[in-house]
Amino acid sequence: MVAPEYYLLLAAAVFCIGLFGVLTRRNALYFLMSVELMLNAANINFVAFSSYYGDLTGQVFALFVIALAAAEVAIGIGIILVLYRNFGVTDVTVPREMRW
Amino acid sequence: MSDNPDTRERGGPDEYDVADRGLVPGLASLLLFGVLAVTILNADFGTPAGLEAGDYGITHGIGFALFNIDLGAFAGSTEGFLAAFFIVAITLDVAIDGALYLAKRESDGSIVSAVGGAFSRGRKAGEGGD
Repeated sequence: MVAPEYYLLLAAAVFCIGLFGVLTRRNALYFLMSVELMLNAANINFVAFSSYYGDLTGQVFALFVIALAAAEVAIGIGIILVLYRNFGVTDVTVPREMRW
Repeated sequence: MSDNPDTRERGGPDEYDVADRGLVPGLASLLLFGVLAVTILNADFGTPAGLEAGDYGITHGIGFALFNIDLGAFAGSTEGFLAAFFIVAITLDVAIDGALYLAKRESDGSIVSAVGGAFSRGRKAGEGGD
């Protein structure tokens, strides 16, 4: 069995890469990709601890997180589409009001 | 590349943003990774148990847990998630309906703006629309 530290370090690295993307990227598509990286870092932790402690619940939770990430991307792409139609850009810093 | 949204390249790469604003977030991310790494390497995770697949594989066990079917060898290691499964299924339905609502067009090709139309088709606020 691979030691859990390796999985956790991998998850921490993926999470930090996602965090860097969220903090720096302005393009909404890159932004969504970065959020996905952060969610998948959580999934790595779920599966690693599920395997380590012999509890399937973590793997089932990882499936739910994947499903919720799909829902988030569906809505996110729709919002990006509306953003592009209304402003002509996919820059998340351009819209500054909830209503326009 | 300009910061002015009117002159910024549409949908183009934003390397400029990363180079311009990436130092502090990059250092913050590295710092967070360092803190996490130190914490992980100094943590005690207890005794590993490992998954006992029994007569069925782990994938079977996940399927049984999702639908509250007899868990067999996994009875002590998980529980039923049927209610959560239905809630997530409904959430996915809502998400795809929301995505279609946001993206739909009229039959003549015009765009239905779901969340405001003042800037649609190049119009600015005060030039029509709501």
